Order: sequence, then structure tokens, then C-alpha cells
Amino acid sequence: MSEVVKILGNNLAEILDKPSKASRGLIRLAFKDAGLKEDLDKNKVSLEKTLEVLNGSLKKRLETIKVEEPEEIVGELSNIINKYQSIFTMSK
Amino acid sequence: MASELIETVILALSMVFLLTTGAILVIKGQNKNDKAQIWLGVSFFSLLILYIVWGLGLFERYYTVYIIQLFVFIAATFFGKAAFYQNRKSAFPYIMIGTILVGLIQVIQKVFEHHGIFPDFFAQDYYIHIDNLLSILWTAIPFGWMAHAARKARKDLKTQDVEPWILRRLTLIEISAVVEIFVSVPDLIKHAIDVNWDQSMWYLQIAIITTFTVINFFAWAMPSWFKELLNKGKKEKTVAQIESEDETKMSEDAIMQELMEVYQT
Repeated sequence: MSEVVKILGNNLAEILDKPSKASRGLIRLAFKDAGLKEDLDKNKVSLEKTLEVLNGSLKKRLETIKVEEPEEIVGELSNIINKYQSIFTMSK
Repeated sequence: MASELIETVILALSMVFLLTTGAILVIKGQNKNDKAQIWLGVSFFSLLILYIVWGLGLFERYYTVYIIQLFVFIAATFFGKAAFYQNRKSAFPYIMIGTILVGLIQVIQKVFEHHGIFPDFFAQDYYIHIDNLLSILWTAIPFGWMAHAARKARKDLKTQDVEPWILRRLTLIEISAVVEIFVSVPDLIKHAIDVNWDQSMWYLQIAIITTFTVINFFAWAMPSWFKELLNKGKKEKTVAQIESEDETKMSEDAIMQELMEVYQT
């Protein structure tokens, strides 16, 4: 399982108070929307690309499921992944 | 004779470890889009060149060794920035300035010494101690920061659900960085005490270099048996548990539906 997906998905689940499995699934869908599914599967995603995914396709997905204040949630997740950014280098 | 052979073999093996680790890092960094690994690989390649030049005494101008060392430390500092502090406030600018500044002092004093400028100063007894202390400080700036960053990252990641081998890789980086800080300490001891410990200090220096290269080899090459060893203590899950937690088996509709339902209730 991708460590980046685990960190983002589990934290998203906590923020939204949702099941973590589906939240991790939503993160995967966001990467897929951004055309980065293969990069994610091959553990090739970078911090920059991940931040783009959060601010782009994940935000849209959150709007689709009618989450309140998606901008703030995406901002919070960006801070979280910035804090744990060593995972990108250390998990490869 | 036998001890010379042993130390040559140990040093040669260390160089092979450095070359292998550097190559692994650069190749993996390129394949996996990871700048941090590329910077560390560059640092290891420069370190390999440094040890070859220093060990074999290839240059008449000894300050060449210090110029190569400056490249090693600059690349190691860039690794720290790329791995731990992208888009984040950190001591990176100060560490880089400190590394370059102390490095330039080291290079300039060696250039002066080589060309016979200020010969009286270089002939003083205390000069060698200043030189050794500067060497320790110079190594401590980038590698101390690396050790600190790895320790902090490990503590932060510990709060998340990540594989144990990742946390232990960070521990290995921290340990190897601390070990590297001590690489010039034998030179200081050798000149500071009034006992002929030249050979013992040389062995100690070889031991430090070897420990650093071997730890980094295992941390970055990460053979599968070693990864399994580092993963010891990981909570084993049943097949049913793994399957029930696997989000990749969920369809897009199921994910969206589940999140919407839960959110709306």
C-alpha cells in the first residue's frame, strides 16, 4: 500500500470523520483524475505533484461529495503532507 | 604487512560500498523522480573521489582534497533540504552558508600553506589544532543538521501508520550522520596528546569511514532480507483483514457513495 495514500487518506478520514478505507480510495481517485495513477502505483510521485493533486483533483472530488469548505480541508492536508514529506524519499 | 593488507582490503571494500550506494541512489532517484536521492548519490560519488584522491595522494596540491570535500558537504546539505524541508522554513540557508564559509576557510588556508604564504603562522604548534577543530566543525555543520532532520522526521512519522522499515531507515541515516561527524576526531586526538597513537588513530579513522559507508549501503540498497529484518515487530494482519482494508478493491462508485452517505447522515 502506498505510504503517501495511507498518510493522506487516514488524515482525511479523521478530518471528515469518515471511514479511512473510502478516504484512501478518494485520494487514489484524485491521483487517477490527475493522470498520475501509474506514478502512484510505481511509487514515483513527488511532493510537488502531490500538492497539485490535492489543490486540483482532490478539491473537485470533495466538492462532488458536497463537503463543506473543501479549500480549508485541502490546505490542512497540504500542511500535513509537507510535515511528513520525508516519506517521499524514505519509502523509495 | 598483514595489517597493511587488511586495512587496504577494508578501505577498498568501503569504496565499493560507496560506489554501489551512490549508483543506487542516482539511478533510483532518476527512476522515481526523487531529487533528494540524486543529491545524496552525488555526495557519495564526490566522497568516493575524495577518498581515492586522499588515500592515494594523487594531487601534489593537497587543497584539492578540501575542494572535493566542499562538494560532498554542499550536496549533502541539498539532500537535507530536498528530503526534509521543501516548502518549509528551516535552517537550510544558514547551514549552507556555514558549510561554504568554513569550507572556504579550510581551502584558503591550505592554498596559503601550499604557496608558502604566512609561513610563521603555519609553523606554530597550535595551528594543527585549529586546523583539526575546523575540520570537525566543518563536518558537524551539514551532518549534524542531517542527523537532526532525520531524527525529527522519524519522530513525526512515528505518529502515522507507516511501515517500520521506513522509520528504521531514518534511524540509520541519523546514526551514519553522527558517525561521520567524528571522522576528523582521530586527527585531533593524534596531535593533541603526547603519545604516539598515530597507528591506532588511523585504524579508528578507517573504522569510522567503514561504518559510515556500510550503514548507508544497507539503508539505501535495502536488500529484501534486510527490509524484513527492519520490519520485525510489525503487526501481522490476516488475509481477511488485509482485504477488508484494501481500498484498491473498491470501485469509484462505492467510494463516492460511501463518503456521500456517511457525510449526509
